[in-house]
Amino acid sequence: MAEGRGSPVRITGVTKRFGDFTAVEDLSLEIAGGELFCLLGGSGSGKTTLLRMLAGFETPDSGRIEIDGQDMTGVPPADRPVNMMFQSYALFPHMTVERNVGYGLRQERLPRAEIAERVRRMLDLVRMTPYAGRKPHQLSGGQRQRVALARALVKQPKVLLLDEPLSALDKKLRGETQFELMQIQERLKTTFIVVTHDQEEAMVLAERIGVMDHGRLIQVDSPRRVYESPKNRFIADFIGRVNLLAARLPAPITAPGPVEVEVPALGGVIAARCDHPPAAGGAAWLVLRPEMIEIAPDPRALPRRGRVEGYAYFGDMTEYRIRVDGTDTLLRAVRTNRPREGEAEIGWDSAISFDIPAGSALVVGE
Amino acid sequence: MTGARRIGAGRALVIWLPMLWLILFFLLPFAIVAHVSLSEATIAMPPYRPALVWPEGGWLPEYRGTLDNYRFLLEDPLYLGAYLGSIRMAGIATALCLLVAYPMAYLIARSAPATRIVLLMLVVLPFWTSSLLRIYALIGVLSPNGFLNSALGWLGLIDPDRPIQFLQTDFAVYLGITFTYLPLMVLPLYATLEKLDPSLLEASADLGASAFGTFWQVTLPLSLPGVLAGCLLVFIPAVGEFVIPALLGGPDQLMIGRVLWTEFFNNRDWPVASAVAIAMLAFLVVPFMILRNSPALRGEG
Repeated sequence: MAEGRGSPVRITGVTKRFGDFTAVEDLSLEIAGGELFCLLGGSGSGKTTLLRMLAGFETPDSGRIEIDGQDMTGVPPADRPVNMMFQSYALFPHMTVERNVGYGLRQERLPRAEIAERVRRMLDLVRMTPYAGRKPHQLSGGQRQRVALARALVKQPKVLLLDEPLSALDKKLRGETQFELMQIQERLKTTFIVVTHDQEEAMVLAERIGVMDHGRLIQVDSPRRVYESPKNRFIADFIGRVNLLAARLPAPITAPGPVEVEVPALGGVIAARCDHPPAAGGAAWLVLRPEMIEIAPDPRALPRRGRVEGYAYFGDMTEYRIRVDGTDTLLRAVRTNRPREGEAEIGWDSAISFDIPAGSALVVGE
Repeated sequence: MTGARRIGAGRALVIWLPMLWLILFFLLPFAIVAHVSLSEATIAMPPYRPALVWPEGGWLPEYRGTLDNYRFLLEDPLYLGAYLGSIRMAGIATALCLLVAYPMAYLIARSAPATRIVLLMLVVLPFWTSSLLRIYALIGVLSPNGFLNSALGWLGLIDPDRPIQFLQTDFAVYLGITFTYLPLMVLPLYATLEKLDPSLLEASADLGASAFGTFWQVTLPLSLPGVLAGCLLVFIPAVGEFVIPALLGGPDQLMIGRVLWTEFFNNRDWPVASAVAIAMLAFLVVPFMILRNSPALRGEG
């Protein structure tokens, strides 16, 4: 393919209001050329508004957006070097797959032969060549998704915007399509900006994730950093399964590193670490991922004791609800399911022991 | 079996009541008109010799009809001229209706839901007054010393002493039909435009289409079912329209509604009048049958 590398995007101090509602507030972000970037957030977080501003469907109230070094202020959607894949796919129902994919090229009034050739290559890329003559209503959801992708890519945009690209697909298809999307991105090296509310999707797809809440970008990091080192309580809670416990700091934390905090819910002091020190005087929380907790069926094997109040079997692993002895605290802990020689089975109401290894829990601010 | 095939009394009523209505007020009169159209005219009461006659003591009727009336329609150029005149008149009026109604329907479909109801009300409101009253109002507007001429004179565009002759012209008839039938065009257009997914328009703009390009390639093709429905709703009654051409049109305008009237009331030739009516129906039904099978009208476009 002749497609070049994608272009960088720079968003500087962008704000967008709808009446009293601030959808995006003073947001700045730089995305590198050829990057696969995910904007992750719940509904109303402003992620879709940001995407629509990049496409040109909404105008920022203030701030500026640059694509490939060009200021996009006042540039209408038709003239931007970006294309968008819509959440509903927005395929033209009265056109065949081929006509849909060629639509963008026909607007440029390219020679027929060139259009046909580029459409053919694009249909090959998304493996839709056998369906070129079909209308959208004759396609399955996954096929429609691929047509929408081809239609958005055929103009060789410098940046491709994808609005919840996989949300309309069933779970199994979603997994396959995720990898396909990544492969295509890898091949074309176009900058992809994906908006999603599904943290799992963001983790699998993205090189970097930008987590949004209430119109603000809270953390921009690799999926691994976002999960293992969330910036605050909101992100720790939003991404992945977590035990969030109120913590008391003996003294304000000034620098990242190991800390000892008092956690009343666990009845004692926990040796944790801190990457993003909480604001002085503000609340502090202990972020304890379920997979960090070690469990043993022998109530004396590990230093802490608890009782199993319920469990859910997932096949690959089991999640336990553990009531910590001497407290009201219910902890979620997961353990992979593999044969463990000579070990008693952990069941309903089993008395067990558990441990939180030093440095496995994290302290964050509000 | 839980009696799924048994049709309850209520359901039978719901099915048969409209059916009965259609039989009584559409099929039966149609059969009578068709029968008369095959009969021979005569000076009697009623003024025709029936095509179907029951012989003394016989059960089956005997057919003594004739196709002469239809043959007569073909031979006398007056009738063909009247048909073509009506179709031309209805066609132009339908096109005018479409041109006026499309922007209106588009605007209504794109406005805020609260505004939409008000605008739709305004479109339907004239329908609540008698159409005859509205036509007379139009006469008031178009007459030599009517509102339009006064306004033009006041603006200095025409000499007030030499007003423009609007009444008794084709223009007045087009205006009358467009004015009367406009809601029938706006409503189906609005219904299809309102269903149009706005993200399709955004996708089109995103792919580089201009506003006009989007309209031409996306909006218009997808609203075609509404366009066709609206055109049929306006065109079919406009072809047979009698009142508007009679009141607003000139005496030289030959329209099928007027011919029908003349044959029936002035010439008292019921068989020819019936043949005119049946032929007109055939003229309208056949194209409709063809259109009905087109994919665009079935909304698959």
